[in-house]
Amino acid sequence: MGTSGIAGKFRGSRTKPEVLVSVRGAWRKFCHDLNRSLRYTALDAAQSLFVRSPIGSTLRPGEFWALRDVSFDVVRGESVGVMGLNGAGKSTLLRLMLGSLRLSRGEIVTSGQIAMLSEHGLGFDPRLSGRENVYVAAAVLEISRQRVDQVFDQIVAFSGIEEFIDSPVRAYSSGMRARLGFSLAMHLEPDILLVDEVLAVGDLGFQRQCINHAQRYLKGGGSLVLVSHNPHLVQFICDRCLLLDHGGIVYDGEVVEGVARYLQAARTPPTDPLASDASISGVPPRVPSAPANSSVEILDFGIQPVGTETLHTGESARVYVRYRSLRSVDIRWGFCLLTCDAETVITCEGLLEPFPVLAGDGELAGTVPRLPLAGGRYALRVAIMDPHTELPFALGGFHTAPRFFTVGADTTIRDNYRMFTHDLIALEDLKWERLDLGATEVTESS
Amino acid sequence: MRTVIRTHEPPLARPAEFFRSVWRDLRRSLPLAVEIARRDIRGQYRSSLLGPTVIVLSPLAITAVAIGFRRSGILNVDFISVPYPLFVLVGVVLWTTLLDAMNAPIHGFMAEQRLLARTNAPPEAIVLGKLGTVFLNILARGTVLLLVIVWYRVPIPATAVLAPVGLLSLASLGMSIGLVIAPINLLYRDISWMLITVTTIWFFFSPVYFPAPSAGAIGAIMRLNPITPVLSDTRSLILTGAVTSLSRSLLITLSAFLSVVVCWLYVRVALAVAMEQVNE
Repeated sequence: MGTSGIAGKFRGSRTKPEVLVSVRGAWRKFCHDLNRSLRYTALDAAQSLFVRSPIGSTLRPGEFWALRDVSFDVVRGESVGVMGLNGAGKSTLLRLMLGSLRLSRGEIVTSGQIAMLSEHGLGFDPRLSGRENVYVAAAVLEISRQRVDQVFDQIVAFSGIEEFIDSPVRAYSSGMRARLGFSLAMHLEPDILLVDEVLAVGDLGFQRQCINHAQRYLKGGGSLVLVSHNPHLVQFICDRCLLLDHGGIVYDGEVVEGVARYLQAARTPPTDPLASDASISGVPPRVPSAPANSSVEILDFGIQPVGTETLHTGESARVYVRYRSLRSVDIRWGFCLLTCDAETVITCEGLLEPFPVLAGDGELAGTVPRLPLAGGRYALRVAIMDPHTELPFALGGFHTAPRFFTVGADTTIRDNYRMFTHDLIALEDLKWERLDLGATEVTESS
Repeated sequence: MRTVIRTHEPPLARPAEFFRSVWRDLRRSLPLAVEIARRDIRGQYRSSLLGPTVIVLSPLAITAVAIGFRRSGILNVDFISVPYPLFVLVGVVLWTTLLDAMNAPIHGFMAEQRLLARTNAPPEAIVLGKLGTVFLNILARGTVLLLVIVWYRVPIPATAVLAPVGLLSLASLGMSIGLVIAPINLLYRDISWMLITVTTIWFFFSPVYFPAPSAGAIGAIMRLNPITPVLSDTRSLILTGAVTSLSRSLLITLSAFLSVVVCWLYVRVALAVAMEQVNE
């Protein structure tokens, strides 16, 4: 633990990992309808006074499962990132661990002091000053005023809001609340700290401080459960990732892999009724028939891996068009690669020289030796043109759904960054160099 | 290190564990209760026009209204042995004690929703913390009452030392009602409005402005009012020393103390469920 902290807080065993949070088969339901929800709550409250058997563990009309059969452990010194799209159940999970929500089914065991850092700090009261909130939050964690007095100046200094510490918290920006909340948590050192998507609101300097302090907190034996959409924070702070989808855990393991899966999920449009992806459905898309009086019709088109099972950054890929020609004609053809919203063209390539095709069915193909697309989801359109008029004989994916395809990437921090920053192109084999233009080494004097 | 096991079972499914957790939370709530009381006492008049004077202005104003009614002949109260303003002021101080105690959990849980929802603060801490303010209010009003008694040169009987028991009895009654209503108030926001109407009616059927009539419909209703004997006897303990319904007062006092404990346990169960509506 850092020197600024309340020393000697943690007493964890060094030999066997000490489980601080154990979640076993946790289920939680909510109700869509407000009036019904109020009625159910009143009913549950009345029943819980007289009934000893579990109540409300099945769904009633209007209810839905927000969390389904979630099980995992958090050991002392471990930091777990919880990722997932909106509505996946992340915040619900945190509140169940904190105890401010009841379980619908299952069991959660926590050992030690537990605190939750959210957009409201550590449960800050907006009417009170920052100073008053510090003492109330400490009292919740059963830390005496005397002990808080010892670290109060450090808490305020770290939060960087010295001038506003006696102002009401409602006058704070979200960043100021986050700074004070995080600073407080790092100095009061609960055994388990639950962080709900709050660190990202601070500026970059604050985020850097957060990462450093969180790592010191973890080395000192604290445990962290971080809910975040920010892969950067999760990758740097956490050593394990839980990925939630529709209330269930779909991945629990190594953080880089978890972040990669989250980014893949985040890039996939949730509903895309027109889209079809052969790699997912195996069903080719509907392709429009050729324009009236056209002599060429596109039967199918797509992009497929060469030498590998799936499309992958830097690997060979083959774009193909299957056509039917009613007569022998000269044609040109080409394809466009687009972003998955089909709004931005990444590249259009075409065979400029006209060439003849015979009457009947055939296939045109172009091979990309090293696919330069970063990992993600893309769209493909193709066109067969009349070289004499530059008008299309047949189009694929222009007036109807383009063919969507997914490019896989390696599960590395670099590839996660590419997805996080929405890179489209992955440049390979770059040559990096450094030139010292009269630079000299300067060391910091003590 | 404290280990907490949460399951989907209702709290009363394991009574032994339930009572252990009540006791544990009661003990751990004390430092937080002190912090909440300290904060409330400092901060309650931060955005107010009249400041702390409102604590004593309010009962004095209610007393002044009663005096005005009596002088204009609307109220005909002639059969009391102490100055009427003193009679009313003692009644108002006792009544406001009951109201303050009732509002402590109702307003406390409403005001501290965020603390309850975002931390694992025990609800006991909030009620105990709010009682700190109630206690200070009693002290302030009691001081004013003492000054008024001295002003009227009314001798204070020795029985006045028993008055805190009556105050505690009324506070317990108020607290019990407040504890029952508080979780429901979190669900249905019109409860607090209904409460204003009910307490206003209750006020006029309590022996604050006038003693309970011995006959008639009003007298019958006032005799059914559980605070009538306690309020009348506590006032008598302070002003004359002659209590009239000691056995009923003692029975109600004991029931009030017991009901606080029962209602406290009820809050432990019901609040956990009601708070979820706040979370959502």
